[in-house]
Amino acid sequence: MSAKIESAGTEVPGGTPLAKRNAIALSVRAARKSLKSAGLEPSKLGVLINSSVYKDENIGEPAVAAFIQRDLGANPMPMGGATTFSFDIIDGGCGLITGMEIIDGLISCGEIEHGIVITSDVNPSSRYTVGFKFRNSAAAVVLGRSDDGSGFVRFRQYEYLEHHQEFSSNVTFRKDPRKNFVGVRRMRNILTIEESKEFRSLAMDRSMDSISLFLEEVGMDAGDIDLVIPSQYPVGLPQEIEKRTRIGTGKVVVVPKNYGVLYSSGPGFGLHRAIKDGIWGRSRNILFLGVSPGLKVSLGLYLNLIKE
Amino acid sequence: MAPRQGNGIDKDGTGRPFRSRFESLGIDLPMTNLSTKELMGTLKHRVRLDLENITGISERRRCAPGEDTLTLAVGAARDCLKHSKYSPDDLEMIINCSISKSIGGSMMIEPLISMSIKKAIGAVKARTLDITNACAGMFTGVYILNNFIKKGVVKKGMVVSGEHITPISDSAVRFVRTIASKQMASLTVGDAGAAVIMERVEDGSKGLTVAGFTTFSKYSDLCIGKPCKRAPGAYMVAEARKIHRAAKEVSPTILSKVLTEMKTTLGDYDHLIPHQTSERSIMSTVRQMSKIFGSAPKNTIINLKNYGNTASTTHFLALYKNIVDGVIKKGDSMMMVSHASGLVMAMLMFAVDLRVESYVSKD
Repeated sequence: MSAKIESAGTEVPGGTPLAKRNAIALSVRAARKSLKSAGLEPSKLGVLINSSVYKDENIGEPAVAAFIQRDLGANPMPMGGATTFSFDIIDGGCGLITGMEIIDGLISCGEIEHGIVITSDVNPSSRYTVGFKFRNSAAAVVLGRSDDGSGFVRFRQYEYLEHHQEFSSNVTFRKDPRKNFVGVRRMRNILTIEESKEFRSLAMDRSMDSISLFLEEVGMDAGDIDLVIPSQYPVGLPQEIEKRTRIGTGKVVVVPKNYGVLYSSGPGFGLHRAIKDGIWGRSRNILFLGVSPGLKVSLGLYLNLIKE
Repeated sequence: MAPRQGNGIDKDGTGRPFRSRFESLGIDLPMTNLSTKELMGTLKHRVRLDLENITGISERRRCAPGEDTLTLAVGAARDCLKHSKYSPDDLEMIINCSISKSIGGSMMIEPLISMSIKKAIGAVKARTLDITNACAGMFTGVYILNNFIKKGVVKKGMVVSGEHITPISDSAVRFVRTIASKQMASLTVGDAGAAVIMERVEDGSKGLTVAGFTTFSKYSDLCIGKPCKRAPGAYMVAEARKIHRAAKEVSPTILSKVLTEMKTTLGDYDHLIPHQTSERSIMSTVRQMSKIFGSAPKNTIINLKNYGNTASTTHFLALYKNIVDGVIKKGDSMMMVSHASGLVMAMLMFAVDLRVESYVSKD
C-alpha cells in the first residue's frame, strides 16, 4: 500500500494588495483548490506539511503549517474524533517531494488516510531583502491511500556537499542597502540571498548525474520514463533535462514563463499543469525531481496505473 | 520496463511495520551561566517579580561568542556518537529541528543546517532534512524518523537540535515592563544542544511508542517568534497564561485516547518528562491530570533549575541529565509529553534500554 496523488492546486497573488505578500493566504487558497479537486473535506487530513522556504516576516515559531491548518479549518480544535498534525519542513526545491515521501510513509504504515503538502515562497519584505528573485506563489498536493496500485514506488536523495556554499540565504542585522527618506541607511535585519555563478550549471550537472544513478538503481532506462515533473529552478532546468537525457521530447513539464521564477512551489505548479493538460492521466512512469542548495537532488518515481 | 521496487516494501516478515527505539543520547551546553538574579538586574524597566520562585529557574546556560545553533547541534551530535555503537558513516538520516537558526551572527535559511551538521561530523551517507515545529521540533523529528524506520527506508538515523535561543531574552529585557508582558516567557529560556540516535528494533523489545501528535491550531497565535525589525536577533511574544490554560484544556482528550489505546494508566510510568516551562505550571497540570485519570506517574522530572526552558531540546536534555544523575535507570518506563507553540501536543513512551552505564560517569 502506498500513497496516491489525488489532486494539486496552485495560487499566485491577485486581488487585494495584502494577499500579494501573504504566504499563509496563498497557501490556504492553493490548499482549498486542491481539496476541492480531490472532493475532500479539510477535516479528513491526518497530516499537514508546509515546505515553504521564504516565509512571512521570516517567522521562526510556531510552524507556519499551524496557521494554514487553522485557516483551512482542518480540525483546529479537535475534542475527540479526527485530529490533524501540522509541521514545517525546509528542504528547498526538494521540499514538496520530501513532504510527499513523509506522507507516503505515514499512509503506507496505516497512520493516516490523507495528507497534504503545501509549499509557498514569498518575499518577506520587499524593502529589507537583497537577491530575492522568486515569484510569490503557493502549491498544494493532496495524497490519499492508493486502492488501485498507483502510487510512489521509490524515493531517493543525492547530496553533493562539495557544492555546499554555492547558494546561501540568511537574515543578518546590517546596514539597509537603501537610504530612508532623510537619506540615512539604518541597521535592519536583511534577508540576503547569494548564488554563485556556478550554481546553475552545477545544479544542472548534478541533476543529470542523479537521474542516471536513480534509473540504474530502479533498473529502468530513460526511455521508460513517460513524464518528468521537475523543479523549475534553476531557470532552464526542465529544458536541460529534455536536452541532456534520452527521456524524449515533450515529456518534461515546463511551467510557462509568465508564472515567473518559481522556487519551492515549482514541482507543484508542474504537477498541476500536467493534470490540467491531461498528460498526467496518459503517463505511467512519472519522475519527480527537486533541486536544493547544498547541493541536493531529490527524486521520486510514481507509478500511474492508466485505466483503459 | 517495470521499475524495481526499493524502499517501502521491506517488512519484518510478519507483515507489520518495523519498530524503532532510542539507541543513544547526546547533549552540548555552553560553558557560560547567567543567573535569574543577574538577568532580572538587566531589565530596562523595574519589575517587581520573583521569577526564580515562580519558575524554579535559578540559572541558564548562554552561548558565548563563537557558540551558536550549529556548534551546539554538532557538539550534541558528537556526544551522541560517543555513546553509540554507530560511527558517523553508519547514519542514514540526520534531521535538524532547531527553532533558532543562528550561525555566525546570522539567521541561516539555506543551505540546510542538517547539511552543515552532516559535514561537520562526517556522516557521509546520511540524507538530511531540516524541520521546524517550535518546541515540539525534536518530537516531530522523532515522529518522522520513526516512520522512515517503520517503513524500512532507513535502519538508523539521528534527530538533533541546537538552540541558541537566549537572544529572545536580550530583546525581552528591553521591553518587559510588567509581569503581564508578552515577552516575560522569553526570560525563562536557555541555550542547549541535544541529539538522539534512533535505530530499528532487531530484538523482541517493544521499542518506542509515538502517539497523540496533534496540532490544536485554534491556538496558533498564542506564541510567535520572529526576527526583530530594528535590533539584532529575534523576539518572542507569548500569552503564557492562555497557553497554560489551553494546554490544560486539550491534554485530557489526547491523554485519554493514548492511555486507552495503550491500555495503560499514568501510574504505570516511572517518570514523566513534560515540556520544561515553569515549575508551578508543570505541577498544576500534573495535579489536574492525576485527578482526572485517577493516578499519577511515580516521578515528574523538572529540569529547570540550572538550564531553564531550552526549547526543542528540553525533553532530551532532561532525559540525559537524569540518567547521568542516576534518577532514571535502565528499564524505567518513560512518558515524555510536549506542549509547544502551535499548539502542538505530542507524546513519546518507551522503556529505557540505552547503555545507561556509559552516561553515569560523565559530567
